Amino acid sequence: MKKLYKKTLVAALISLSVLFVFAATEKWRYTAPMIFVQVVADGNGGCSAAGLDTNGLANIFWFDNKGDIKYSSAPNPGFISGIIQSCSKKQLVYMSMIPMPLLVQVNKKGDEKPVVSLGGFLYGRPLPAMIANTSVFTDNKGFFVINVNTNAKTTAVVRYTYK
Amino acid sequence: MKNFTFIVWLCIAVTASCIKISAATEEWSVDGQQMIYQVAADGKGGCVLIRSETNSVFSILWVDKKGAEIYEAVVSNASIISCSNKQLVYSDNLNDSEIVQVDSKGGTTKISKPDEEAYGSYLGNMMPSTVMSDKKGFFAVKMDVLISRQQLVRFSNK
Repeated sequence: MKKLYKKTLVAALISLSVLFVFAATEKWRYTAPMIFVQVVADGNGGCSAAGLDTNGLANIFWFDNKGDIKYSSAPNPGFISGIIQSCSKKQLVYMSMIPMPLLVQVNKKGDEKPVVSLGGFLYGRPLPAMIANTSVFTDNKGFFVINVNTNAKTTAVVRYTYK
Repeated sequence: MKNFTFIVWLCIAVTASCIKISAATEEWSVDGQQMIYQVAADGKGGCVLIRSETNSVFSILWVDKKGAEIYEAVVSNASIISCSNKQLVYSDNLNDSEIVQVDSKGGTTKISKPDEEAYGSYLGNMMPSTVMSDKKGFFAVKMDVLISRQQLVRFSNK
């Protein structure tokens, strides 16, 4: 009987250790009263996210690898799902609709500059591609998810590491 | 008067240089015809795009980091699968469902099987995925308001 207990205990410990090794770990989260619809990983543990607020306006956030906000945009009208064009740890490019389609380039200090081309307006991604999945959820060390709190009616961008 | 003119020109020059330093710089552009459907950066400054003309004829265009054409072909229900500066792979349904592999000299190899239809990515031609940037810059679709046609513009980050 003692042997059986011992074997069961060993099996339980092994199972627990395996679970611990392979379980993802939540590192940070950003919660807001809006619907996050696009997340683009920067490849270094941070990300940018586009959220639709209660007024139907788009808000862009750029987080570093600790979840601190590096940049947040003014609310944008005319929201389209593929609003974030690209994101790295050094630069964010997204489409603003103030007052017309306009690409905005943001540097790592959070300074924003318009991207201009004479004779026309820029809207970044091809229009048919804006309805596709334009998110990038992973990098080498972890992944992002969008969680919904159905009681509080908030959504959160959550960062997990693989271990 | 000469001093005034000099100051005005100096201000313009300083402003222009500041703008150039602070914002992305347009490097080149290619014709996107009536509409651009899909773009994939090659990671080295070039890219491939699928576009359509006003008569709904679709074409695929692969350009290098200077915007020079590497390969162009008429396609139908095409979808870009991958693109580097050495190779392009896309699916096409113009003649038969097939995968087309293009080398850096524009030479093509077609992959198809008689009992299969090669779609590449599922619904890839309807909801195309895009890669709009690389380490040194990014691409943007531009609507040219003067001629009502689209262009794909290459910007460097600086």
